[in-house]
Amino acid sequence: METMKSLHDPVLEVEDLSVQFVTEDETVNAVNHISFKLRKGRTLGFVGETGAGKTTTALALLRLVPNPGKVESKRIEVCGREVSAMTARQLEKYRGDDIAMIFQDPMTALNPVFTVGQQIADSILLHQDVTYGEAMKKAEEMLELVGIPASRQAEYPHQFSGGMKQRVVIAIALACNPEVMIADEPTTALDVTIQAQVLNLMKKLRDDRRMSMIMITHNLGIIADICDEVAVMYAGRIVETGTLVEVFNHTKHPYTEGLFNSLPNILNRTAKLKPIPGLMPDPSNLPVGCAFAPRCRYAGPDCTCAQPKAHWFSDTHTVACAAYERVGFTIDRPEKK
Amino acid sequence: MLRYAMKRLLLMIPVIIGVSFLIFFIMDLAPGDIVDLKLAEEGLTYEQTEQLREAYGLTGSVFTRYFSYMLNFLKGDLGTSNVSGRPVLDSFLEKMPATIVLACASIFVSIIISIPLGIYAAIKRGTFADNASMVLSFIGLSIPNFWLGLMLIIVVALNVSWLPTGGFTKGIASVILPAITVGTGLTATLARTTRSSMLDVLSQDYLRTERAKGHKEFKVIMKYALRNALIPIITIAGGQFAVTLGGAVLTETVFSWPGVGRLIVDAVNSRDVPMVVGCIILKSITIGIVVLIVDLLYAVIDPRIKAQYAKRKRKTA
Amino acid sequence: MSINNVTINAPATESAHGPAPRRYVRKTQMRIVLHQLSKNKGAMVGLFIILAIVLVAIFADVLFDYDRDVVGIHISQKLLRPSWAHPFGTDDLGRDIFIRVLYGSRYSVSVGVVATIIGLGIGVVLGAIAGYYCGLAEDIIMRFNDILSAVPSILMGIVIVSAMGATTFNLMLAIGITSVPQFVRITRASVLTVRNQEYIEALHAAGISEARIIAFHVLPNCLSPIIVQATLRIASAIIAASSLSFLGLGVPAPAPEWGSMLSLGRQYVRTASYLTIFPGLAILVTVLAFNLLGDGLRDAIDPKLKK
Repeated sequence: METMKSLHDPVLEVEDLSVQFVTEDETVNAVNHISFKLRKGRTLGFVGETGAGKTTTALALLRLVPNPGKVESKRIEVCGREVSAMTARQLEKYRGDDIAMIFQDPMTALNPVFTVGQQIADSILLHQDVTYGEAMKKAEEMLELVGIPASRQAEYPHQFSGGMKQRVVIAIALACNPEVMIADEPTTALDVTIQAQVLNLMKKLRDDRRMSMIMITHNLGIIADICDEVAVMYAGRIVETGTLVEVFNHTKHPYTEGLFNSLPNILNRTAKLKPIPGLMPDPSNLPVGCAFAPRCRYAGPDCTCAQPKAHWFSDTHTVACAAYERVGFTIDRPEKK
Repeated sequence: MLRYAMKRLLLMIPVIIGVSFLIFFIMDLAPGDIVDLKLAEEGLTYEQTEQLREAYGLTGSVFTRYFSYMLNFLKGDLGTSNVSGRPVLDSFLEKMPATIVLACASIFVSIIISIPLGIYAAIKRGTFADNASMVLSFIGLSIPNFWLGLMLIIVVALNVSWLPTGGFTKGIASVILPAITVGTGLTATLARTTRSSMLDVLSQDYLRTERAKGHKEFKVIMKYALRNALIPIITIAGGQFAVTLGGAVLTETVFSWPGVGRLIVDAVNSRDVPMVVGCIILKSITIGIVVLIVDLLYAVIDPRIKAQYAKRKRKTA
Repeated sequence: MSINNVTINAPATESAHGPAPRRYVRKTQMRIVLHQLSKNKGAMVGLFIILAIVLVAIFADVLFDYDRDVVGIHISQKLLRPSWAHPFGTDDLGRDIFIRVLYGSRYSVSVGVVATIIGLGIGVVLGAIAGYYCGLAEDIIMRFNDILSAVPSILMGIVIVSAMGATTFNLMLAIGITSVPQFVRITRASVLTVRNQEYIEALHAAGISEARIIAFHVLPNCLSPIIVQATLRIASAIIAASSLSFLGLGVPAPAPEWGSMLSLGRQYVRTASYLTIFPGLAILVTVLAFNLLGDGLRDAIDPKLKK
């Protein structure tokens, strides 16, 4: 009974998170009032265009938003502890041990002047009560785990290929067995064949260690492959969220529909691609109403005057779109079984 | 690595030959030589001057004289001073310790001030502290150091009795003012280099990785960032150290410091060609070796550079 | 693939460097640079000081009578402390330090500028040749450069001036020569990067002569670092000039060069410190102004370098 409970308890809960970058010239609203939950052992995917605020959201979870970013939230709870109330000391303990992040570009994410073994052992030494020798031994095990021969621990990042570097980054993130792992576009910088290897590796490690994971990507294929739940982000807001099946097969938000329509279809190559017209609005100058309205073919006058309310289609499936106020509104994308 | 160092040392040989010829040639352009100076002083006959010229090796074309000079040089003989009659090498080695002491003291002073200052300015970028330290470093950069030396003498030495205004006779105390004089410009340059190099590194993704591991901010900066920022810093520090070893001519003059810089200036003024050429060759060798050591230090700090050196080795092998 | 790229890029880049549009591009670039520069307080202060000094230098002859005010000896008024009549005091021959310092701007500024032009002229030509033509020419120039930079520049200056005689022109020449290696290095480095750009390849393909390519297409694109270096170089040339004069190897007496005034004042450090304070301050302010302007120019021209 106890284990059942912990299974359904969220390991991570975010309520009303906003991040602003305030400079002399402008205020960039990178993330606007988003809320989401992540349950133990589950994987939540964040999908959206570049600049939608996905990475900033992830950094806010680690309290690593760079200057001049300002983070505001009602609640950011990880493993039952409020992140925004942590002291510097607690933060150091929390980062790496409770939550870890795999960064987007493996080429720049590793420190060029330390060996990969040192960089992994570093994290272990920091969070576990072990000697240097033990930490190095554990680092070698981690390397083996991600598919790199332990003998290469004494080598430097420049001696590794991109895919290998990403494996090292994963090994660093997993070294202390964190509860939550955030993967920020972990495969974007890699070749397609290497992408699949790295994804499979992450899936396997997640399942073996029963970790919860947040996967940030703009690639719907990766979402379908690895995630249980999906949150679609647009201009710093979550516009649609639900289980994988709900979002993929019972798509409700026009933007999500647009994303699917932009994908080429191998089965029907004569069909024209239907890209979403226009560009995402400038985050320093967001409209009062729905940020997607200028590009949305369903948009009406009701969309531009206020932020759309959330519509619940099931316990898990919500959509922020004002069009659903209209009676009998549906989008064109057919529902799948 | 050793091979690389050897190669670099061998490459110094043509440079040294070029330097010696260049200086020899320029000194030859000068109207009047040591004999003319003596002539004016002592009133010699024509025969006497010719004999003297013969004795000083001043006959023949500049090329033949240079050739015989280099022949002696290869035998390890740098010649003797035309003024004092002592071997050039002896005079040089006698003055070198004072120059080394001054160079070490000034580089020490400037490193312990400039690196923390530069790091602090980089972290506090854009704040008052940053701007103030950069304005200070601009001033430090623009002060003619011989004037700074004079000011220090006026302000400090004439009021603080135990600080000597010149010479190298009172141990540590006599190094203080010259070291500050030489060190000020150095400190300014190094602080600016440290700041910009740190700013470069502070924006790198790998520091985010270090922070995400849970490192203390202090450690992230002092260990993971600084190590990466060091290369431009030691390049500048090494170069400046080499130049100071090459003779802080003006500071040595202002403080009557018994170093090599003044030795050369005096030799130039008295047209003591063997002394000038000999000292400048020795200086150039010293500087070349210091620069080489700095280049080798890169390899210790940055494995990527070490790999490059090794690659070159393979190519030459 | 690369051939493809060239043909795609060639029309666009060529038109950007063709006669008529190029002027347009350069003008806007210049305006951006000037705009950036005008926002930099330090650079503006520097520019203001430089303008003031240049004005003083130009009109020094109008303001003062050289023979009477600058070098004229007035023994009765020797070694007076600063006062309203003589704001900076007088020296051992009764000459007014204030007037001499103002007049001295002529020497420092002209030596700094001319020496830099000499170094720039020689350095840019050699650097462009070394950067553009590989092989023997490059080897010879770079080896010569190594030799020239192996000797500390102050020593080189001392040797050259003392061999050729202490005159103002020799001082300019000596300082100019010691600054050649830096200009060679900078020009070569930027020519090397520009040379490998695809639009240069496209110009070759279009059959344009080498000399034309270097003069009209390569060098203009290398100008920024050279301009910045030149401004900063004027600052160090002024220091070098006063250093050599301080050693008695520069502008000959009785001309009021700041360095030689310091050398004179040094004998009176204990009794009449104002003889050393003011000429030195003049050097400091002038050098500071050029450094500020040079630094501001660098930031304005290359925002990437601004950290």
